[in-house]
Parts: sequence; C-alpha cells; structure tokens
Amino acid sequence: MRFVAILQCTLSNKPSHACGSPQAWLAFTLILIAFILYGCTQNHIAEQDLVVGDRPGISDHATNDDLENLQLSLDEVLAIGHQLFTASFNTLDGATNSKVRLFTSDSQLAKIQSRFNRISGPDANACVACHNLPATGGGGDNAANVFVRANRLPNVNFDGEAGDLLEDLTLTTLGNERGTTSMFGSGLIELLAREMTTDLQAIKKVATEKASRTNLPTRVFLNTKGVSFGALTVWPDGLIDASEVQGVDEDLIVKPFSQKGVYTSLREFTLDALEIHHGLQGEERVGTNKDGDQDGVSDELTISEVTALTLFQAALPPPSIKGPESELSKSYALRGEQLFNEIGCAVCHKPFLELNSPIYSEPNQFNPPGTLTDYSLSDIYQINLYEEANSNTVVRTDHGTYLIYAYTDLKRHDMGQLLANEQVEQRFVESPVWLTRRLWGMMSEPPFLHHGRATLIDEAIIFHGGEADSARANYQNLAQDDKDAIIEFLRTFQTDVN
Amino acid sequence: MNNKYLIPIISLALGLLVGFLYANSSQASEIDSLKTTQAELTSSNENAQTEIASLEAEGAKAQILQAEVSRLLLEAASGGGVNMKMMPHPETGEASVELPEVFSFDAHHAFCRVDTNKEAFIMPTYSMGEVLIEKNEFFMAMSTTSANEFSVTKGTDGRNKVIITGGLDCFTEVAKTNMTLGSRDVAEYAEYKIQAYDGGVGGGAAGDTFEFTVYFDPDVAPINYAIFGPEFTFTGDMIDGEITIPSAG
Repeated sequence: MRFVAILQCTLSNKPSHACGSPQAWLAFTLILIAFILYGCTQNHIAEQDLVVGDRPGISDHATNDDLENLQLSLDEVLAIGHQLFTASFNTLDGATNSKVRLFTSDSQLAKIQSRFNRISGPDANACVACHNLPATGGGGDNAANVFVRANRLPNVNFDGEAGDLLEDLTLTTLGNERGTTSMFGSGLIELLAREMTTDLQAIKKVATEKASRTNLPTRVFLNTKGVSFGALTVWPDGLIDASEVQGVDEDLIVKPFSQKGVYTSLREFTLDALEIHHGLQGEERVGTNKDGDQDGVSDELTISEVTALTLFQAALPPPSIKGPESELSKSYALRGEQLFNEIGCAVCHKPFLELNSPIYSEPNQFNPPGTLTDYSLSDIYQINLYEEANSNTVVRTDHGTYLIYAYTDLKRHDMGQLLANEQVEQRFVESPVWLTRRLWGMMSEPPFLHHGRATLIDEAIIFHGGEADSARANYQNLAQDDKDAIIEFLRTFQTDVN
Repeated sequence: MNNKYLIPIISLALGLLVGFLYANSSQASEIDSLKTTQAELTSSNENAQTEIASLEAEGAKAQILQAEVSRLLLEAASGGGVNMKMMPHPETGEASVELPEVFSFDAHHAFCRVDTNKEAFIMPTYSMGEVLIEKNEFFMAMSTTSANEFSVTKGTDGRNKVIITGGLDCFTEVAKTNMTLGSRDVAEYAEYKIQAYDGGVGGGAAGDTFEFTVYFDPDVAPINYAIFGPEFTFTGDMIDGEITIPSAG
C-alpha cells in the first residue's frame, strides 16, 4: 500500500519531501527495478515459447475451461470454429491413418502412406478443401468427391499389397462416391429436424399411453410440419410396429445431414468427418488425455473445439433466392415457380417448412451414443439464426414463427433405379433412397445429384425416378419453353457470398 | 261510409283473406312436407350414424387385424446361420483369418457370437489401436434382452426385410499377451438394430443377409466402446443357414 501511495504522490507532481522519507524512496526504487527485471524475464520466457519450424495446423487449442467458464465470447468461439474449419491439419495435429501401420510395421513408407489416401482416407487436410463453393462452408466440385464408407478399409490402393484388405473389391464396391454438400443454412435445418423429431416423439408417446390405457394396438399418423412420415402402431405391451413408417428410421429421429439422411446433428456429422476425412478423433469420442488412434497425439480436438466448429457451421448464413438477371428471365422464373408446383416437384421439394424457434444451441438432445447429448453450455452460447440470417429465405410470420425456404421435406424417398448406383449400404438406407435435397443455394455448388453426374439442371431432373417418377414424366412432357421456365426458376437459388 | 269506398275495401280484404288462406294452406302443406322430409332425414341420419359407428367399429377391427397380421409376420420371421468375417493376418496384413460369427434370431430373441479364433489376427479397435489377438483368445457374444420396435417390409429390391431394435447384453473378452480385456461373464448393456433380408430359399447364396448393429455408449459400455466404437455392425458373408421372412405384401 505504501508503494502505491508513493506512486500516486509522485504522479500527482507533489514535492518529493511531501511524498515520503528517503528510505521509502529507496524501497520504491528497488521494487521498481524488481518489476522491470521480472518483465524482462517474462519476455524471455515468451520468446522461448514461440514455436519455430514445423508446427500443427492448430497451435493453441481451446480448452474446455475456456467455454465452460464463459471466458470466450460467442464471436470468439465462432472465430475458433472458423479457424478450425479452414486450418490445414497435419501430422502434428494427429492427422494420420494409424491403421496403415498395421500392415507395414513402422517403415518410412508406411508413415508416408498413412498421411493421405484418396479412397480410404484421410482424404483431406482441411474442411474448406472440399467445402468451398462458392465460399468457405459451401459445397464442392466433383474433384472433391468422397468415397463414403471406404474408411472401413485401411489403405485401398489396388496395388495387390497389404492394405486393400480384400483384393476383390472394385472402385464401386469399396465405397460410394459422393459429392460435397454445402453447410450454408445448416443450423436452421438442424433446428427444423429437432422440432420435427420432437413432434414425432410426442405422437409416439401419446399412442403408447393410449395403447396401454385401452389395451388395444393403437395406430397413429406421423405428420409434422405438413410432412407425412406414414403411420405407427403401438401394442399394449409397448412393442412398436414401424412397418408403415416412411422416410425416417424406426426411432423417429429426423436426420437431416448427409445425402442419405443418416446424421442427426452437425456435431455428429462433424465428429465423423474429422475422423474419416482428417484422421482426427474428438476428445468426446475417445476420452480425455487418450491417444485413441495411437498416432502420438492425444486430445486431437477438445470438446470445446468441436462445439466451436459445430457452432461455426450452424451460424453459416442460409442461401438466398436471387433476383432474376433480366426482365425476360424474371417472367420465365415466375412461370417456372408455378410450373414447379403444378407438375409435382413441390411435393417433396416443399418450398418452406415452418420453424418455431430460430435459437440454436449445442448439443442436440437426440444425438446418438458417442456424441454429446448433454452439455452445460446450452444456455450460454445461443445463436439467433433469424437475426444472423440476412436472407430472403428466412421469413418471420405475423404469429412469430419462421418460414425456412429450403425446398425440402427432410424426408427420405425412393428415387428409382437410375440413382440406385451405390453398392455399400450406409446405416440401413437402401441404394435408391435419398434425403430430399435442399435446393436453396444449388446453383452456387454445381454439379448436381449425389455423385455430381448431372452437370445440367435438366439432366438432374430427368434422372429422378421412383417416388418422383410422375413429376419427372410431367416435366418431360412439358414444352421446351416451359422446361426452360422451371430451369430459370431453379437458377434463382444462389448462395450470397457476401 | 260511402259505398264507393266500401266495396273495394271489402273486396280487397276478401282478396287478402282468400290469398292468405290459400297461401296458408299451401305453406301448411309445404310445412307438412318438410316435416315429413325432416323425419325421413332424421331417420336416414340415424341410420347413417349407426352405419358410421358400425363402419368405425369395423375400421377399428380392421386396424387391429392389420396390426395382428403385421405382428404375425414378425412372429413368423426367423433365421440363423453363420456369417464369415475375414480378419487381418498379423504377418501378411491380408484379410485371410476366418472369424465365424454364429447368429440366430426370431421375434423374441437374437444373438450373435464368436466362440473363439482358430488363428491369431489383428483387431483394429476404436480407441486402443490395433490389437494382436493370439489364437483362441477372442470371445464375443451379443444377446438381446428386449425388443422395442420392429418392421416387416419389402425392400426396394423386392426382398422381404425385417428390422428389430432394442437392448442387449454384450460380453466381449479380448486377451492380449499379458492382459485380458472385458469378460465373457459380466455383461455391458447396449442398444441394437438388426436388419435381415430374405432372398428366398438357399441362404446366403440366394441373397439372405443378416446385420447386427450395436450402439455402444461410452458411459454404459466402456469396454465394448473402446473395442468397437460408438457404432459397430457385426456381419459378413452368410456361408450357412437360412433366413425366413414372410411377404409383407
């Protein structure tokens, strides 16, 4: 306190005798010198901490304390998410495929091979390496296609050596080649799915109670947000007959991510993507201070970092519907929108789904085992996706709900044999069955369809079959001018890179 | 009063009276007619209500019957056999070590188990790296304890398909050189989803398949989670057995 008093006195320009005795001044000087010396030492330590030479893509990891103690603002958390999404992960981050070591011991060749494998993975060093059309977070060109489920094989290279595991596999039987889809607007999509799931679970609960009360099998229709998912029968003993359920799994959890609709949340999708595409294991998957893939790096991504990465993707703005380029295209687009509805496209590509609340928080309560379902941060880091949207595809209604113009029903459909090319089933979804593709932003991330084999909108439409067969036939029966009108309408779906 | 006015007034009054009487009698008959119609409609309505109630009762019965048929389809679905899984050889790395998984299922119970391994193999685990399993040192059994949901449908390729979900006990024991992980006696709980296809008589060669996917929660089944991860599908080439799933129409 004496030191502070002397300092205040000196700073106030009072005479030295008024500020204390010579002994006090001596003490003050000594303390000042000590402070200066301490500061120099700290600078020296800071310089020693600086990394030189090779360094990981993520040098400073966000710790779980950083988020739990609210030491970071939402903007800072989103910045961490952006940094993770754009970082180029390397060996020092733990970005390797340790399975390769299994086959060729610890040879240098094995180490090199473990860094990258176009088919088995790791097949990318950064999220943005594939998700970049038309900007960070978007879709990808065919060059960025992935081989879904090929990661179950250690190191496919068709060289006849160890690593292919089963040498009779071909490029079409080892995995499913698919395009990279956009993450823009995905927070709103997850919120829609959460609300739909909540509705379906409530219907199931009511049916279960009724079946128990009446001692009779009870059949209920599964409708939510104007989308029918078929019917469910519950027996008095609690057994559920899901034979009539359509477009969603028996658990009635709407899974809006991946083209097959098999991921419940951005978090689940993110954890799998990190593991499959980058060889990185999340702390919540393998445990704290554990090197699950035995590559010499533990805690490759902390729980907080996966949260930040998830929130960053959730906050990516939804695509917009762009104004037509000319009066001519405007008149075509308007007519095209009408035709789009009339010929049956809008049955599955529902123009909008109504969202009750645009507040996004982590984690999703319906996440599967291995992905967090409960986390104390849910009340802290909330994002109002309506306020952040700045897009004409999110419209607030008079009664306080939000119309999300994503042009999907978030339901799976049988799309016919032309789109049944995949031979490796993913999570029980049959080959011709696909989640209705969100059309918003489609023009900003060509080519089209799950494998990018349609480079024109017209091609994408005529490849539709199965449940979309009548709509496809209606389209093909239109005059060329009307087909052009529909295409002109679809060309308005753009992602605003600004 | 002057007759000049009286006569027209009386005439008018008489006219009104006649008109009123005529109209009244006409309306009365119309009212009678409407009353008759009303009575008929009431009767028809009552009949219709009775019929609706009857149809609703029939509809409810039909729904129950439909539900019973569906459950009978489940009761009639069953299968058993052997799925052969090829595991990596410790020296060559090739998937050449046979690991036969025996399975069986019906509406009330299902299991799949690997009793032992005749040869050493390398097992890629989820969070313990690749583990060398010596000869006769691997045991795994998944045995269901409950069924929550089922569906009996026809797949998009025309094969009959059954899906059953619920809970199970898992017993996995992996022995390494100087340690044993897990237990063949103490179970860990997990949830499962079974999917079986019936490709016709002839087992695997005819298109029968059996997949047993188990979802391990790290808090509930830590050992199995460390070995298999959050989701693992036990399956392989069906080299023996038969799956029978009745047609769902």
